[in-house]
Amino acid sequence: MRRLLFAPLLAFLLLLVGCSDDLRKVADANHKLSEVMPKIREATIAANAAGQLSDADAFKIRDICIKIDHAGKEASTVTRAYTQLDPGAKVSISAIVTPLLAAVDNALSSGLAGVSDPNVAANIRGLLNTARAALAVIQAIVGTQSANQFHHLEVAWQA
Amino acid sequence: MAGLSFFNPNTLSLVTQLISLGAGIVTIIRHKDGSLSILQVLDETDTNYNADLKAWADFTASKAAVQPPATPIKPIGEPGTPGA
Repeated sequence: MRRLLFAPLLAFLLLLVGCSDDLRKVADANHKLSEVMPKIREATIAANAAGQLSDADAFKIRDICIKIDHAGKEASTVTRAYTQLDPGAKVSISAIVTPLLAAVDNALSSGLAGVSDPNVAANIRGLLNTARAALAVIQAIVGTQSANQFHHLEVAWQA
Repeated sequence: MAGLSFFNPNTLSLVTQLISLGAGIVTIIRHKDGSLSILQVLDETDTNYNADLKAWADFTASKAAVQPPATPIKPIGEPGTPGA
């Protein structure tokens, strides 16, 4: 009988470990993203200094990178606030990552169109793809649900 | 004394429960360790982002320093200026 009482406790503890593993994966993916961003900056500034990338194009890439940096920091702050990846954490992180993925996709599809040097464009595109892969890992864990969707659920629950 | 015999079903049940409790404590400790590791990862992540943002700010400042003024400043008194 007592064993039956312990079973839910053990199940809960295992669930806790599972959730913290997901949180760890999000933190690791965000860390990987933070390691890619300086490489994109270095490639951009080097190409600009070498005259292979105009100031205007360098500023376009800079603006995307700054957006990712701020969002990554925000995701880091949100991750710190949780000890497990519960639905609230997923919504908060998804709300940060989803628009960021769209911004990176936009940069990959059209934002680099102005980069005249094909080697520079390919290098930066490759690095942005690495950043995108890290963001995709986070999105795969937290899902694509928006805060708005959950707001509707919250309203329905309160009603 | 017979109640503490290892082969007594009650004792076996107690041992099983103690093992379960031990496993639970280990799980909690592992979780705590994992959380600490996550904090270290997040600290490093923030450091990377902050360094990148600072480097971009430096790049922007270096570009602004070499930019010519948007409109040339005419000395007062030249034709086309208010003091002429």
